[in-house]
Amino acid sequence: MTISLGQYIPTKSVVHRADPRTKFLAMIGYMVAVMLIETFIGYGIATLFVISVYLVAKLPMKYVFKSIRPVIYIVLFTMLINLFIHDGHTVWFSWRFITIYKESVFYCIKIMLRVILLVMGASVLTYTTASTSLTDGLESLMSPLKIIRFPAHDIAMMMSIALRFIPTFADELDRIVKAQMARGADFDSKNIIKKVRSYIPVLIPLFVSAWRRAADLANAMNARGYRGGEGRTKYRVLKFTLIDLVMAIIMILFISLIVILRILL
Amino acid sequence: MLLRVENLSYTYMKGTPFEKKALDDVSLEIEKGDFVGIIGHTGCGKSTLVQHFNGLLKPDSGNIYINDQCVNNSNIKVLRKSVGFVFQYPEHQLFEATVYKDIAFGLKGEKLTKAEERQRVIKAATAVGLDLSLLDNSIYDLSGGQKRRVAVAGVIVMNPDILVLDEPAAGLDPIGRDEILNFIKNLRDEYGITIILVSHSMDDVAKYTNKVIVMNDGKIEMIGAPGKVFTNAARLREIGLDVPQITTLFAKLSEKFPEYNINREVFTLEDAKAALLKLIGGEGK
Repeated sequence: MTISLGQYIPTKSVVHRADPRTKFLAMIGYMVAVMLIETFIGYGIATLFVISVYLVAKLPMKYVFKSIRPVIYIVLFTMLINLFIHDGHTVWFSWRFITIYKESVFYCIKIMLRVILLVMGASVLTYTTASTSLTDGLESLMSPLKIIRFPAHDIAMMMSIALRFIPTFADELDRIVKAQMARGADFDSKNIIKKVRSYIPVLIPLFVSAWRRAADLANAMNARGYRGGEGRTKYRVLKFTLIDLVMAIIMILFISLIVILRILL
Repeated sequence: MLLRVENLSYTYMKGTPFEKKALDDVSLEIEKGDFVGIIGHTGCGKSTLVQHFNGLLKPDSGNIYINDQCVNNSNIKVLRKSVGFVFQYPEHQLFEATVYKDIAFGLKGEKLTKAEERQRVIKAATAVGLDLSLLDNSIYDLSGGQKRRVAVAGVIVMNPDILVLDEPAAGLDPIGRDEILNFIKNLRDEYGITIILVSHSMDDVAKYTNKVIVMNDGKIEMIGAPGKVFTNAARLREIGLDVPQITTLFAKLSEKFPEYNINREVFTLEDAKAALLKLIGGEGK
């Protein structure tokens, strides 16, 4: 069993080398911009933009579709719902109580484009940023909040530990399921109550093992002198480079273009 | 033939960039009453191979026969019962409230009466040398070695014909290690269960098994009696394995004192004792 999550693709492009903070802020800027788009011209520009980012990041095009796949059903579902409940003026199709308006069709297509563009853009961040540098970046971005006693370092540390242990627990889960199957557990029951009950022999050992690993990890961190974020230095120091400057300028241009389009059209 | 594997091949994550061929055209036969050792360095495919024996993995190509029946989707649940499987660190899969309940877990599907169930559990607990007064204890009160016994008992309670053990002694101290391997040997000698032991330890394999399968890079490198396999020390070292320590010692002795004609085919302590007695006792005695 393999669970790919945070699916980092190491293609060593300029986007990969950029500061994770820049990428994170760029992603937020991009998302706000996409939410502002109203016209098909705007969607066209955003699509071109995000595709060129994929090209610059040297990401294979199949990953564009891979990023969309998990949300495709949600998108289709919201489209269908909106198709029937959204109101308009020009009737395109009418049968008994179902009426479909031209405006609602356009509206649905726009919603679909919006969600797809959002997911595609957000995926660039996880495709091009290793989870460690992502949490480093988040910690650094959240650090101004330390003034109001917000535990930025602790949250970043918890995030990176959680990400680090996902594959470990996936392996563990696989092994426990196999071990219980080997001693007669039956996971194929049709009866829903039996099916839920059959997972007890998997969940308890997994939970026990999670506790054990957590205790071990805490001890190991203690033994190496971990005392929280106070005075802690970093192996990889985040730096704002020329790449980040160029990236920021491009993002500002893109967002302004979208805003101007929104005002003009 | 109890277990027969024909031209088995298996690839992990087929069709992705992470594709890895774990088994490549493996064929072997195991007879009733065998104590088989499977050795090979990490990633050679030995765990993948044994997981096919009771259908936890399904072969990409090739067939597996248990008691001359070909394993397929329709009979897999029945055949799985005849092959018990003990994973590495089996104590991690214990979950019931008491030792008794955990051992009895596999019997749930068999619709036994309380008395029959109790009898089977007691038989299994006795077979692994577990103190019967522990049956009503919580599993989390037991020591590591005891937990491992409980886990093995939970598998042999199903009355398997074959018992596969993946590194059963991993992480135990030398005494615990000997205890566990001795009761495994006892399972074969007294209960007639065929044993397949996956191990890293050449010493254990030499001491307990009557047949050794050496795996390398998804293929079977050697197969035969320990005496035959361990004479090929050079090739074993080439593929990252070794011979038992006592064999290395006797090889060195015979190099250093060629005048004594020391026997190099020494694989266990008993062999060593015999060889040494022969030396000091003189010829013919």
